[in-house]
Amino acid sequence: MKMTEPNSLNDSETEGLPPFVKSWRQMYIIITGVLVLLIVLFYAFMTHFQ
Amino acid sequence: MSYLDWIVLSLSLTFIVGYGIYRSRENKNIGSYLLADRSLPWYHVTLSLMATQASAITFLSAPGQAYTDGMRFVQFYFGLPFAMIVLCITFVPKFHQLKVFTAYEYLEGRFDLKTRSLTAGLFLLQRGLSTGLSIYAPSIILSAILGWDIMWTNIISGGLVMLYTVTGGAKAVSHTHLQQMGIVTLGMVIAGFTVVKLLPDDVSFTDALHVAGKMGKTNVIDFTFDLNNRYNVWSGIIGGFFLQLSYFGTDQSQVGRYLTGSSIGQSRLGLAMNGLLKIPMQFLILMVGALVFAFYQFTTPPMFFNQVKVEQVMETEYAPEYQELEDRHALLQSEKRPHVRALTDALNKDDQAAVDRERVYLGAAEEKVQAVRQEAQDIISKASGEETNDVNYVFLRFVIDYLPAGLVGLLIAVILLASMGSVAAAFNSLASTTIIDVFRRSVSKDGSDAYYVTASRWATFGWGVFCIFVAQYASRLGSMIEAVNVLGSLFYGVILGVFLVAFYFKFIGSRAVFWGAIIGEFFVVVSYVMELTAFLWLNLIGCALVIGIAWIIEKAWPQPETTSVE
Repeated sequence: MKMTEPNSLNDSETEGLPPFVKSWRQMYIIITGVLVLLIVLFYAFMTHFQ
Repeated sequence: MSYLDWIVLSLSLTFIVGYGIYRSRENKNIGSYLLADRSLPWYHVTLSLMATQASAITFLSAPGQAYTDGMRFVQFYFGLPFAMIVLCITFVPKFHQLKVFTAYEYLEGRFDLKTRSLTAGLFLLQRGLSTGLSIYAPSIILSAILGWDIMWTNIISGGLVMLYTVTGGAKAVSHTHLQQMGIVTLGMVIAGFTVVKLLPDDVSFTDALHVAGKMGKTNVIDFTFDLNNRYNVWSGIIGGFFLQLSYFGTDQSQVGRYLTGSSIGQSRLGLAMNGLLKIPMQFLILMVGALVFAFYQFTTPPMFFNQVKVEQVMETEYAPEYQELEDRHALLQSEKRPHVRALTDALNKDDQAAVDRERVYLGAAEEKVQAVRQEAQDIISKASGEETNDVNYVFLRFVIDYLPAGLVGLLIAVILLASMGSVAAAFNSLASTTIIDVFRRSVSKDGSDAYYVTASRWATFGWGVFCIFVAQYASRLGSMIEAVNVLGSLFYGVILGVFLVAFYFKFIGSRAVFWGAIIGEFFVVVSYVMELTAFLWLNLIGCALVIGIAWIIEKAWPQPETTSVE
């Protein structure tokens, strides 16, 4: 069985995105930013309660 | 358990199973049965991914982990958001465009049948065994604390899942995941509030966190780079990234969840939201454990939380030694209590000097308590002849001893539903891989849709029986449990390596990747047997070996005719 892969996405590049996000690249930046923010908040949480 | 607890537990389980069976009526063809017609919105995908990953042990073990070791376990998930991004960019569009049923189906198009069969076989072996343990794990804990019979707990919890997965397939799995996550979240939130409410009247939520924090339980972040330290920021981001990418990208129990998305965008958003929500969720579960720890600073906790093991050791020659430790533990706890009180008073009066003084005292006192607990654990291990700890028992012991009637039933429902959620996805994925990658591909190629739906139902049933059988057998294989728990790490890295070669190394052909996988797997197993590194790193090692070896083979002995379609 062989499959042929399409060359480009059939779906729209912005389909599925939340209204406040303009592109998937922006979504990935938000995910990374939230992780960094969580690490900072966790660090503050740790130092505050320790 | 009281009657009210039984009513809450029965209603929760009946509701989920009934709802799953109600959803079963919509299966028309193999696409409906295995992938819910690829029709689900992003929030179904997100909750289904989370319900599949969060087993009973997540809700039993994580609070216990925070109690014994602090909240640093959360760092284990720091690689997950990056894994979600890679999946959104690479895996999701490829799988969706080719309309594959399983991840392994893609590999035949890119390489050949034997690479597809190898990865599908590794998955079936690993997932079949680990699902048996997913059924067994809550049973052993519930039996130890509530006295339930392990065999019947295995049969009932596995059988309930079979009822709606055999009839309803992926649609029933996904729809019940939604309800399960609702009940699980509600239960954990109520448990968190109840712990705070059970604290002495003059001790607030933040006071409790200060008490836990001063004794080292809010150790969420560790920036130290240490290969032998399992939980720090770097092992979480690097090792965790490969583990999560392997799990979500190549394990059909997860791939099958986001393939149910109605479009590439919906599947991507489902994964993206999982990347945003998973770490805060895990943090909150760990915080419940830290609060339970704070609660036990105002009352004497059990020295060892698995009472069955304590009763066993008290019937052996080690009983006097254990009793002496019990006395020492009680004394340490009572000596510590006035200082905990002094700490909360100092916090309320904002007396920083007194806070610092008590922190130093309590930090040292907690180290002594942990040392006594470790000695007790060693004695129990010696007496029973097998390694043991009580991490999985801390939270449930607290629930049984202190939560009001009704809530106990709800929290036990949470544990069983969490187990059922991950087991249901596993049954569905085992059936998908068996039918799509083995039966329809190599055994019976020309059947009708109805024929394959019936075959999938039988495959789900067969895997259900197999996993329950493994769960029964696991109860007699104490020392095997740990080995099977690391099974995922033994195989995931290699399978991920095969997929990464498929996606990113277009010049490498089927022969090179096949032998890369075989040789890579051999070295991963050798690394594990020789204990060369913590098991989390095996994912990275396996993946790197497959890519490296396949690269060398392709360069040294180029394949005359490439099977690549790209």
